[in-house]
Amino acid sequence: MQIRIEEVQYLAELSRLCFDEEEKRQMQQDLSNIVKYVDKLNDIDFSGKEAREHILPLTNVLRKDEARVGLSNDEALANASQKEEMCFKVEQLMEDE
Amino acid sequence: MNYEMVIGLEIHCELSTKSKIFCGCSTQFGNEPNTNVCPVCLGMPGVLSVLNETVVEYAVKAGLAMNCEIARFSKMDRKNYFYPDLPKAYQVSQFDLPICLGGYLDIEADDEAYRIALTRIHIEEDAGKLTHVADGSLVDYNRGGVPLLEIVTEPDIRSAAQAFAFAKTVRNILLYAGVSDCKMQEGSLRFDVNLSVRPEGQEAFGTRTEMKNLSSFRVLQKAIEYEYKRQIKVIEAGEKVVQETRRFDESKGITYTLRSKENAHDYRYFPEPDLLPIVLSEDYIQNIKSNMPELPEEKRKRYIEKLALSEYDARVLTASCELSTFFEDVLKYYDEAKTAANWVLVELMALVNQAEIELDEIKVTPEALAGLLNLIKAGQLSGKMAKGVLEEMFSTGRDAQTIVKEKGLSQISDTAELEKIIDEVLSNNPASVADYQGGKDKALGFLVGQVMRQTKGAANPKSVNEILLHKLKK
Repeated sequence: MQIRIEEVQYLAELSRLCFDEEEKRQMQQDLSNIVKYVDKLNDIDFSGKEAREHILPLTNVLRKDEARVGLSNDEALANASQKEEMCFKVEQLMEDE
Repeated sequence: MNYEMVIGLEIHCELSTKSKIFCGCSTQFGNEPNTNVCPVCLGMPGVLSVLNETVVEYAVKAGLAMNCEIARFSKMDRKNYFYPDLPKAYQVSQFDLPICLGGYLDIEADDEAYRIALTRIHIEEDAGKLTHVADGSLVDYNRGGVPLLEIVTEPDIRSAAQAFAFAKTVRNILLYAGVSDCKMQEGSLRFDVNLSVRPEGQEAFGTRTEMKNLSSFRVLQKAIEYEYKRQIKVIEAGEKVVQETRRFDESKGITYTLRSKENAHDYRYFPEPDLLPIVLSEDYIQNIKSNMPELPEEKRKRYIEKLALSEYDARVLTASCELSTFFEDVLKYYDEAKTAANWVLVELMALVNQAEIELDEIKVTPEALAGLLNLIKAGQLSGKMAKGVLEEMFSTGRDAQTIVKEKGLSQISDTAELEKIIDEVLSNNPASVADYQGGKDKALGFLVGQVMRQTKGAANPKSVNEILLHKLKK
């Protein structure tokens, strides 16, 4: 299946990425190849096999509801490019203006 | 033309677990920003989420309490969108295989009964909290990863009053089921409203808008009323309602466009590979079912059948978990259910409403109210005096005994003392005595009144009557 250039543009917007025309063509090529690779699954005979929701044969991996201490505020914010009042700081959000 | 509103609600409820849904960070509210965080809930690379077993248990409890079918097999999915309150740029939620399916709740609005169908209930993680400042936004991830239930209704709701009643009923059930504290002021319960209008009699739905994150019952109702009128105006002006997310501005009482970019709604759900499917056995579900706390419907029946309360009292008491809990706590120290119900519903609630506060904020404890009622029962206080004492208890938080002692209040049941006062009243009012003895029964009331006046209301009215009648017969 061939990925259309508009689909690349749409995915780029959803992923907050910016491509020039050349990059878009390259991305179109790469994504198309990936999808083509997945298409190979169509050649396999799955008859008699049950569909699985997860690759591992495990279910119900659960933990007890116990609280424990995590990171300190300093540790949590150690790699933040901007911080203020113990918080991560980000640029003003358009949606809420 | 008349328009009918069509509403579907999504209710988000924070579960009252000790730790977050996928990591061991505390869920405690009100801590300093970014102190209940760890690499898992901050979305750092290389971490592995593990599901909290109590979240599953609470979701099943809530589902059973709302008549849902519990899924034997469910799984978690990633919901992708960019917003700084989500450190991973996706929210772990449930998409096609939620933990609870269907279900319904019966509500009452404007004196009519309605059954509101549920589509589903699923579990997911809460997002962080954003605070907007002049030159940016501050992000606190303490709330990120707190377990949420999302309860989704069918578009069955037809008025703001029904939406209000439904939301109240959900809150009540969640409280009774013991899965959430539902503290509105802490954002433990939030409402999203999907609303459209259609000309009365039309089958097809109109275009809907969504209002997100309404955080109180009053705001829910106001936002619905405003949006209903706004959509009608748009249609009557010959325009079309745009499908979009709108925000309700509480201070202005209006809604405005928040998000109309269509692709913002493309969440590209896919299965969460880090978490394994949830498989629930019949035994597991049965076990939760048999250990369910008493729900409002059963409670109401028990109040009527076992405690001999009126249908009305039982209904009002059980319509609020806080109220029925308070009532039952009074009964731990006092044994007359009917009297207790009366004092809670009439006298206490009058003070609560007058003070415009919530029941869980008052200074009178159930034990203290029981103490007051026991004084009445023992004949030490008249009902009238007790009302005054309750007011004092309500404003100061002190117990009945202390107030009674301090004010020198106590009902005069001492026969000798009463006889003395009554003799005095009789000799001061010979005309009334003659009237009564001449057949005018009304005169008795006047004489009782005089005794009560002499004792400043402290005489036991029953004893006064008895003694007076006895003396007048002579």
